[in-house]
Amino acid sequence: MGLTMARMRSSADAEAGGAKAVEALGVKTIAELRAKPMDQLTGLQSAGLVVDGYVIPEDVSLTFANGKQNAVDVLTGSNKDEANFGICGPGAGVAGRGGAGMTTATFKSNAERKFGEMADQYLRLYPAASDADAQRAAHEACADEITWNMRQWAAAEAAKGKKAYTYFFSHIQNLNGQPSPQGATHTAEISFAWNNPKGQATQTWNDVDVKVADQMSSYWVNFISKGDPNGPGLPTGRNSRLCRRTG
Amino acid sequence: MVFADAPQVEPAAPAPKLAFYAAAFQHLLKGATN
Repeated sequence: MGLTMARMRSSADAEAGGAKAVEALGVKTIAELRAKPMDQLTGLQSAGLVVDGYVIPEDVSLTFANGKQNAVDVLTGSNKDEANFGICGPGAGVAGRGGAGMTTATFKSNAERKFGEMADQYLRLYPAASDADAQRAAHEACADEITWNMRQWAAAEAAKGKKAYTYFFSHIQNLNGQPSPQGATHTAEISFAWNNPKGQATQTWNDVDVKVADQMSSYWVNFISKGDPNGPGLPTGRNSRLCRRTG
Repeated sequence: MVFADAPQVEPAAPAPKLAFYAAAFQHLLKGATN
């Protein structure tokens, strides 16, 4: 459970991974590790959420699948170009830190590693006859997987009788006087949700950006204050990609 | 079109893809840590 679907690691597995990473750096103590310059540490990867048996007693996917999560109203959603932020690994995007370099071979091997016996089914849904196809397919698949995950989250709360809404953010804001080359990337919606035209130093919002922010922040305020994001003057209903009631 | 201009109607949901991820999730649960 996360932005994408994956099994959570056990403490033992995460600790073993950490020890292996440290060994690869050629250090034997914490002091030696702390003495390493930052540029030698940037390749280290987080273990992510770990099932430690204490704070997190089980894989959170199981918690939700078994309906044991806290019952709360939720407003979940994702962005069209999440992959450009590196969310789905290197090469799955078409721009930004997650962009470029995907090949048909890598796309296929990634699918096999992640989905195992279901990889063929995945590859039929996202055909990639060329590297360019693979790039687009990886980008689209990342958005679809996160979309499914956000719907799943909302559906899990709806199943417990709570109010649950989902959105899909596809607006491309203006940065430095032009549409963001990273598209609707991960976190791009935040300044709109908070109606903050100064959220990033690079924001140069035009009239459409301002209007989008006014509307999106209204959904947020409505949800927080009334438990329903929809309201007067806002695109609404089940047919809107913006705020769709689940369940 | 951006949704600020008019409500953006959700096109046909990518049902086969969503169904795939639902099935993949069930497959993933089989090996989840508990």
